[in-house]
Order: sequence, then C-alpha cells, then structure tokens
Amino acid sequence: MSGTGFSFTIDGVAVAAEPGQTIMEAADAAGLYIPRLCDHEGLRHQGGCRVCTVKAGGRSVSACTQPAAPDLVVENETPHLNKLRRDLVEMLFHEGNHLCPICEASGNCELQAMAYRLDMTAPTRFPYLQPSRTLDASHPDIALDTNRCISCGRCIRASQDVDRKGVFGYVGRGIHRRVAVNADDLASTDASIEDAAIAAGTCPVGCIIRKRHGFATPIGERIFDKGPIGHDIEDKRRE
Amino acid sequence: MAEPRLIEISPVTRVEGHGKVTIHLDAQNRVEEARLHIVEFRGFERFIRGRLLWEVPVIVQRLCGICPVSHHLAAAKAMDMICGVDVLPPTAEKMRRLMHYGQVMQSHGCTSSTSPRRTCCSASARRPSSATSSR
Amino acid sequence: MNETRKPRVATVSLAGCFGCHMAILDIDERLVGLMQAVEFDRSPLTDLKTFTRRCDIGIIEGGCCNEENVHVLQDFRRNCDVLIALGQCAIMGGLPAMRNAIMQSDAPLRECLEEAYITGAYIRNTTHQIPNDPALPLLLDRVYPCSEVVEIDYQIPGCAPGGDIIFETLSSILAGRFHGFSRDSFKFD
Repeated sequence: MSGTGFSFTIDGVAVAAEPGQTIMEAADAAGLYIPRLCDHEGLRHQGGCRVCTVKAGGRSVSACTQPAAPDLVVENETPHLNKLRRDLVEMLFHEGNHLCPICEASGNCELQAMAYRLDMTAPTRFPYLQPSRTLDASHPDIALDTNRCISCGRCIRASQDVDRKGVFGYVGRGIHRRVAVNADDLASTDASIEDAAIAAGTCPVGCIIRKRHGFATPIGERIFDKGPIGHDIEDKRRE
Repeated sequence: MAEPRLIEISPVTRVEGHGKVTIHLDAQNRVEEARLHIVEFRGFERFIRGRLLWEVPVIVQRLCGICPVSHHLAAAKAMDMICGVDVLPPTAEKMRRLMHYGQVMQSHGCTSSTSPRRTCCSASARRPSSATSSR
Repeated sequence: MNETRKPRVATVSLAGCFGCHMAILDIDERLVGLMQAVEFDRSPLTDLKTFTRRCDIGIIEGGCCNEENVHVLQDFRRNCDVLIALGQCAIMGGLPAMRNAIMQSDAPLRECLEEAYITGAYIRNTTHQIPNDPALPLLLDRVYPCSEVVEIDYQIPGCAPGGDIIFETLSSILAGRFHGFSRDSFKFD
C-alpha cells in the first residue's frame, strides 16, 4: 500500500479515507455517526454488538471492523438498518435487568441513549428474561452489577490491552456468556480505581460502578441530556 | 335477614390507590368485623436487600408516586443510621427540610382547590421535622 | 356516530404507585383545555369504579402483580379502543419486577412475603401469618408487563413520564396524528 487516500460514500456523502481505516473510523472523521455500543475510543475493535451494522456494497458488515475500500457504497441511516439496530438494543434491554429509574448511570448510559436515538418506544413482543445475577460490592472503590451488563467487552479489552491486568473476561457460552472477574470477587483481584477498565466511560452502562460518584450529576446536566448519542461526531460535520 | 352479609368497599378512594374494606355483618345485621385490606403487595422490603446503599433512597421513591419525597427521606435517614451518621451537615439538613416542605405543598396545596383531599401512605407529611432530625 | 361526542378516557393504576397519575396532573394549565376536550369515564380522577360506556382511550399505569390487575386490564382491553401503557411499570414491570429476579432465590415471591410479614426485623405481626383473607386478590408468580397480558397500542415511557410528553401524546392521539415521539422528548427515568 502506498498510503494514498481514497474516497467512498456513506448514504451518498463522499467520505475520505486512508488505507487500513475502518468504515467507522473514516465516518467519525467525516462527522457521520454510525451507532455503536462495543466500540470505544482507545480500544481495539471487536465487532461484537453488531449495532454498527451497515450495508457495504449490499452486504451487512460491522462498520467498526470492516476496512473502508475505494468507491465502496455504504448505507448507514436507513429505516431498515435502524430497525435492525433497534431490535438488537431492545433484546439487550430484555436480556438483562435494565431498570433506568433507579440506575445511577441513567442519563450517562450509552445503551439508554442508543434506545432514545433509535426510537425504542413501541410495545415489544420479546419476553423479558429477568436473569438473577449477584451484585459484587466487595471492592472498596468499585462495584460490579452484572444485571446491567451488555457483554460489550470494553472492560475486558481495556483491562487486557491498556492496563495489562486482565481483570475481566468472559465466562460461559451462548446466552449464558457473561463478564466475570479473574478471582472469587472484585476485591480479590488487582483492579484499582485508576484502571482504564474502571474509568468513567469505559463501561457503557451502569455495570461497573465507581463508588461515591452515584447520582452526583443532576438530571439535565448528564451526558446525554445535552444531546443524543453521537451528536459530538455529527456536530463536526455541521461546523 | 337471616343470612350473614359481607359489604365490600373497593377501592377505598380517599387513600392512595390500593385499599379495600370489608364489613362482615351477622344475621341480625350487626357489624361483626370490619377489615382494611391493602391489596397491593410488591415486596420492596426484600428486593432492596443486596442492592447498593445509595440506590435505596431512589428505589423506595417508587413506593408511592404521591409522597415519593417522604420515602426518599426516610430511606436517607435509614442510610444515615447504617453509616453511623449522627449529625447532618447544615446544608443537608436544610435541603431535606426544603424537599419535604415542597412535598407537602405539592401533595396538599395544589390539589385542595380542585378535588377533595386525598391522603397517601405518608402520614408523616404533616411533620417535616421528623424527617430531618439527626439520629 | 354523533359528531359532537367528546372522546372518552378511562384510567387505572394496577401494580403502580400512582406517580403516573400524578404525572397526568403535571400537564398543569393545559389540563383545563384537555378536560374540555375529553370526558373521563372509569378513573380514580372521577371515582367511577366501573365503565359506564365504551371508551376511546384507556390509560394503564402499573404492571400486573395479582389476579385483580389482570382482570381489570382485560376489562380495559374489552372496553377501550386504544390502550396506552403509561410509565415503565406498565411497559416492562418497572421496579416491582425487581422481585422477579432476586438473586439466590428459588421462590422470590415467598421470600418477599416472609420478609414483609414474618421475618423482617421491625415487623409487629401478632398473627405471625402472611395475610390470606379471601378478600385479597391472589398474587401472581411474577410481575408481568401489560403487553404480556393484553395487546397494548401505545406506550409512553418514563418513571414518571413528564407532563409534556403525556400532553403531546394524548393530544396527537386524540387528533389522529400520532406518529411517534421526537427523539429528545422521551426518557426512561
């Protein structure tokens, strides 16, 4: 590769890209927001949540892992794709115990903000699984409420790649796959409040809880009270 | 009137929502027994166990939508006791007092001109000082 | 159909806390116009305990936690053209549904009842029994969202929903021009 840039289109808008860039990276730079939950700045891409599914050349691909290619035609904001994404987000809500009214992440939660963005307000026919999961509050500074976990794996990648600790990992398979810690409880691990895995924003939901921070921000001043998820990226384009 | 009778008043409309009264009459039409039933059972007592301490004031707000502040403050007091907080900072005390006065106004002042006054599960709303006393 | 007939609205609180009914009052002064445009039938606001006529809109607060809730909800479905689930409890069971998923418990309902009436540290229950009067409705094994019991046409999220979204939704449904919520108007908390 010579490293020369090329262009492709997302929803008819020409987007510049470098070889090796994914569709999502190029879209972010161009100020086009592709919804995502498992992708996070500074972490390697996973392509797990599939909320970033786009149609590239007619094929459904995850935009966070698919490399951009010259003259690729990408569809992003279409009713069909947003319906697929809404179903995925809805299933995440049904898979765990997501009680926004009492959750300290409410208003800062990417899952909730994604549901807002994708208009998740119609009556649903999926059953609520209501799993019974324990809350781990053993650590003096951190609590872990896996009722709210969406298995995005962001804490796993942050702990492995950034902190070099590997505190978090997946256990189980299929629908039983969950995020767990590498000891009996969180207090027995070497997790620390300074870890990138514990940093505010790494966990998209209210699963990893930084103690003594809950409900500190009043309603109206929380992250997604100021605008829908992705507005920071979309604002780049408007400027 | 030889048969014993049962009079059922349901729902009881002067309290919040979910009450029922049954009056048992004997064969002579005299009141044998009168019972107040609280028909709604949700189980907050149990399912707040195992939750994080600071979540509980937010959870118990949902016990009653008419007097959420009373429940919030009651839980805050309980949390104080659990943590061994004997004296509140003046700001916290004033804030709690203000919240409760707001609740009293919202619950009683605003509705009294348009509809008969309903009471809710918080009898303590008339005594805001009880919620702010430092334990 | 009589052209001048006002749309009829019925409301009920099932396993809810009446917060959503209070939120209806948060419509504030617009309530006056709304009250002139509609007629309330069965509702705690009118103290009517049964339907007097068929209604256009039924507003449901709260999920189903006992048999009476289910019967009332079915009665609403039979007597209302449009059913609106108002608030998180009606939509997904809400906070009471926390008892469906109590960790380390095989019989969550029993544990809840025992904690509330027998084993709780501050209980003074002279009968040492869980209330079992025949007048009490039978509790269900779980708290069910309304949509698992009957068909729900619209849902207004929130705990409790804001006065604005209730007013906007009600007026647009009444005008027959409801096409969903605007992105920044609804909240789940």
